Amino acid sequence: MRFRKRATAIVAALTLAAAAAACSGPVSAGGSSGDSGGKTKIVYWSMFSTGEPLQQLMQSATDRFMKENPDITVEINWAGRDVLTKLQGAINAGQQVDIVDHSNDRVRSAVVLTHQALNLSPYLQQPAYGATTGKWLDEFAPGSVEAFAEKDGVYEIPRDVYVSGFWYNAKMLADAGLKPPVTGMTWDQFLQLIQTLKTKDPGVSPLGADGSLDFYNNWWFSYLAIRLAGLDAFRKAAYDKTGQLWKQPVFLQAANMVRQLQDAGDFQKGFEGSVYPAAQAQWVNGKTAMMLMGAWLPKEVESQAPKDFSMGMFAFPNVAGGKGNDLVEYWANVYAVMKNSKHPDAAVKWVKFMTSAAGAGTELPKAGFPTATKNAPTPPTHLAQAEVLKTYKVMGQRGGLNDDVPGYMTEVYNRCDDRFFLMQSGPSDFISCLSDGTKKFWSTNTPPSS
Amino acid sequence: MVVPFLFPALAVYTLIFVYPAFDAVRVSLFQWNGFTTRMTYIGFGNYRHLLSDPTFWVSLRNTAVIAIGGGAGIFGLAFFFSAILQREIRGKKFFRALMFFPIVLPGVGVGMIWQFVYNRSWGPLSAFLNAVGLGSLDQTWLGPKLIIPSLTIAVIWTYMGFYLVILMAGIDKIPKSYFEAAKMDGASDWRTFWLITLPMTWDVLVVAMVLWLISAMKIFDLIVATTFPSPPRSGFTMTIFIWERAVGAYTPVFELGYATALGVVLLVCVVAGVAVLRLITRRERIEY
Repeated sequence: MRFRKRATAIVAALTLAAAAAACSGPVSAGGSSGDSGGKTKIVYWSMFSTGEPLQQLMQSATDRFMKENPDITVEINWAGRDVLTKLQGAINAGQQVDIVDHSNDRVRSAVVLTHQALNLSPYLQQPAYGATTGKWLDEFAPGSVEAFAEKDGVYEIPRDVYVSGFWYNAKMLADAGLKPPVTGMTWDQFLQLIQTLKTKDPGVSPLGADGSLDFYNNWWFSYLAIRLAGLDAFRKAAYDKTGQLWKQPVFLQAANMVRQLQDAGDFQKGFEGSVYPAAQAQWVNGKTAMMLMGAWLPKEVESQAPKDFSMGMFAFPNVAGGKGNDLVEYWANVYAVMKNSKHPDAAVKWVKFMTSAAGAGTELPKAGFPTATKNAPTPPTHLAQAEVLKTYKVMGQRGGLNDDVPGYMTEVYNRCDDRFFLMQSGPSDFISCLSDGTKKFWSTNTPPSS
Repeated sequence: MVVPFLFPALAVYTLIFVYPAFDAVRVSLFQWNGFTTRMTYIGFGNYRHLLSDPTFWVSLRNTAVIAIGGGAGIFGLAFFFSAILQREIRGKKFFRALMFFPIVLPGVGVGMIWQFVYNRSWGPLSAFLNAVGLGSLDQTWLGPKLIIPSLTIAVIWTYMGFYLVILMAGIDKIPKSYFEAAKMDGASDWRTFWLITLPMTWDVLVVAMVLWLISAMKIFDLIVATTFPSPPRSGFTMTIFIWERAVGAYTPVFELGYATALGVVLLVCVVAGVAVLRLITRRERIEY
């Protein structure tokens, strides 16, 4: 019966529609969890593919874990970024998976909200890996685990953590006599910075953006709306069944501020049709000065950036009189342990190992990935992120809406925002689109209870 | 006597297509994210939803534009090149192979090529236009306004050679004496094409158009690769919309029930499209 549903879904939704190309099967069979040769076997389905830097690091860490724990065998399926799509099939086929990882919003939608994940709160009160006293929770930077907690407990353990902000070409700005502060820049100072860059080097676009990604495009309005109106007002507008709350002047003001940048030609020519990662390539090659981006950017551009390329980062600017100037987006790639794991203790032990200082928790930063592990060093590329996290309060992606109501985000928010950001509609039309779409969406959908 | 021979094929066909196709209709009546075995029955809720979903209509329109516009381009060019390649020219086989070549390439590879071609900063198309003084024609090729026409051109380039070969196989079957007679009677190339080539390859053309329609409605890899990793919403086709709803893209939406309903609608569109095409292309069979 379980297999039948899966087969139907795959064949019907995707094969019939010939989207089969996107649905390649698992990279390797995960196998079923159980005991083999007196050993406890746990199965980890990873978001990484063979050959990626973190895959290599995690494989060697896991080898070390198995050496230290000869009674446990860890079988890893390097499933890649569509690991959760593959997990749909595995769950419905009754295949055992003990641990899975991906970004916190994806893991939350896929296994936490569907009650497939194990509540890890009790484990967090136990000693960390290799310790006999204390709490595993204390291995993490304060607040970093709580940021991803549900009302009834913790289901996601953060691994590499990121904020979003403006990443800039440090040499280019220095040549223009600019040294932006990591925190506390005002919107007026930001506009002045852009003006200085344009005056200094008219051939360089101050801002770069890949318009093909709605997920990136919506950063601009979201940040400005939250800065101006505050997080609560922003979220209330999204959940408002009448849609009228989007019509508050403050949201139109936010849209106008985005449009002013675009009308001033501050983005690179053709940003509307720029396909990721073209804008990033332009940035590291000195064609643009800054990008609004997540802190994964240093790793993403590492291979294409010139050796002498140096970058800096500052938080999204504050606005005068704003009610949400103290916030920064924060998210992570997280581990979740499946509730139906036959060996939850062994699975958690491996997660503890990967996130504890006595295990592999400090190895990721050495490879350039910032982690939530408290005593782990901060990679040189992420010193600004650490400073931002000390100064600002954290919030979920797009004020948490991306985590809480992804259906609303794709059907209403991103649809309206994309037309606006890509210059297909004006600020007023955008606000009307949000208002009408929100009203229509909530007339047929129920807001999540948690 | 025939049944035992047909049974294995019928059994496989029923198992992997007929049964899932019918069961898909059942799944499309549920709200389901694919991560649990629990499905919530909502009747025709998914179908009501798609009727009022603007992205569905955009996707359907884009799919139709690619199918019709791409088809016109493919068959227009295929006939044009078949007329040229019918003549005794040097390197005929080479040119035929050259035009067939894109279909041999993986869709992902072709998509990457076109992503490069259309890049406004370093792509050859914009560079060429600017180099020859036609910079005013340079456009944001993959922007919301032009993405579907741009993708349609990529589709035509990719598929034209395949249909050219099919049409040429049909044309090669026409006795040469017909063309010689037409030539002796002083018929122009256009009149020869209209009165001899087209009627006598009609059956082949109809089959080719049916094949194209089915392919066009299902196009996925080429478009995803051209706009990888996340096709812009303005470039959504039905298959990409289904994919986005089923497995999420950058925003984690897992609506397998809704995606299945979209798949059912697409299947109905394909069947209806083929039926209409067969109806309007029906004519008496010419035997020779």
